[in-house]
Amino acid sequence: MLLFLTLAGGLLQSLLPGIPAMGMAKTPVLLCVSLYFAVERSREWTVAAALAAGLLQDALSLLPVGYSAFVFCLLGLAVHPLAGLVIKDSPGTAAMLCGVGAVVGTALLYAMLTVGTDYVPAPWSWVLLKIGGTGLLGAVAAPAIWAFARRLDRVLGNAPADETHDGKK
Amino acid sequence: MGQRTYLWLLALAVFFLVLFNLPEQVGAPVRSVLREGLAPYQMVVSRGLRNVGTWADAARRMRAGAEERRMLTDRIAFLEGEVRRLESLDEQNRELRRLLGLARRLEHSAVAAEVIAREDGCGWWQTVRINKGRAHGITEHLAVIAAGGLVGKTKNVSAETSEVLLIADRDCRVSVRVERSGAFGVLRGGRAPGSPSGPLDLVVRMPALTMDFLDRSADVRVGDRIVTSGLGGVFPADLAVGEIRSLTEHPSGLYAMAEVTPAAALDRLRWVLVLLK
Repeated sequence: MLLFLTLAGGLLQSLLPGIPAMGMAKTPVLLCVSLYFAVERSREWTVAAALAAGLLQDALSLLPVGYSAFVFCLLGLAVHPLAGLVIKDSPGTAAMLCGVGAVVGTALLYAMLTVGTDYVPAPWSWVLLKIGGTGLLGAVAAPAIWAFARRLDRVLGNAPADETHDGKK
Repeated sequence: MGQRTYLWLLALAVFFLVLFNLPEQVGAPVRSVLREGLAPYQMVVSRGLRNVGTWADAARRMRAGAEERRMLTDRIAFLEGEVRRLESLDEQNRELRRLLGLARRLEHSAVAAEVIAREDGCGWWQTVRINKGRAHGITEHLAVIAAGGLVGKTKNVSAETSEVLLIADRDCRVSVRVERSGAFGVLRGGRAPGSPSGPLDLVVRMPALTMDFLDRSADVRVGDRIVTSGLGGVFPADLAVGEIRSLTEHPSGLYAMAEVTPAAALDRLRWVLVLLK
């Protein structure tokens, strides 16, 4: 499940074009996959998903190996304790967690890039546009990605089928 | 937090410390394995997407046809699809012939490659991924050209794929000269990818290129062709880069700057040549 979602997410993320009006922001599919595991699985799975998705994102870009994995791990470990406090299967939860996660993650990645590498700093207007754009795309895409992942979980028997919030089938 | 949590976090911190400090020889295979795994799928999807327009059009036409003429419409749709496919093949053929002609004129041996993915995985750089790598003799920092002119340079090469950093990216610098007068300058990606510097830029996909450090007294005119100077060791001399669109003076008053239109269609790349050293 983790392998499939990560590879499919990586393929989708690399195919979806960046949006020029949003500072070339790309839909953070891999981050959404990683945060799904943070909400639905144990802490060990959270870290495993963050590492897999993060390393794949690094491999698909010019980012140094480990940068995205580190950011995804931080976000996953920050979101994991909230799993018991939120309505997991609500589209709003997915949109909010992934939207905010994408904003924080993109800002963190930019900070790491400018401090840790010889990346030529971009104008602030562009960076802010990219951070906001990635957050927006994350919030829009997350409900669909999480719904797909949840359906896959049910098909594979990892989660009970069609359970309502009060636990009735 | 319990002792187990602290141990977890400590182990993670140590892991990332090691990961960030991995030498390139160790980090590169990790990157390579992951990228190679996705490359075949990217190639299949990339090729499939090129035909989506044709098939969608054919499907629309099929639906629009009246019931009694269904067979005929099907036939027309099929033939139109075939014509488009042949036009696409013809265009591809012409592009490859132009590349072949270019390769014959060059003193370097070259490897032809197909673009299998556009843009960096998270949008920080302007890159394309090609389906040739170390196994075909490609190494890092080799010049990449298309039929029109210079495209960029190779970066992050794995066995079967390579990333090409486009000249339109802010991280790519090229030593260039004006072909007519010989005035030297440095070319860089004009703006951050897609950054808005005016209302129109919100819909303009490809940013302008800028030629910096031009001597203010140099004989440079709008429309002059820009070629590589050969200085710097990455790009061979005399590769077409673009054409001067406008000239301005740097705010410091020390040198002139020129906005350059790229010679190669950077946003429509399908086939490229990697120049081997």
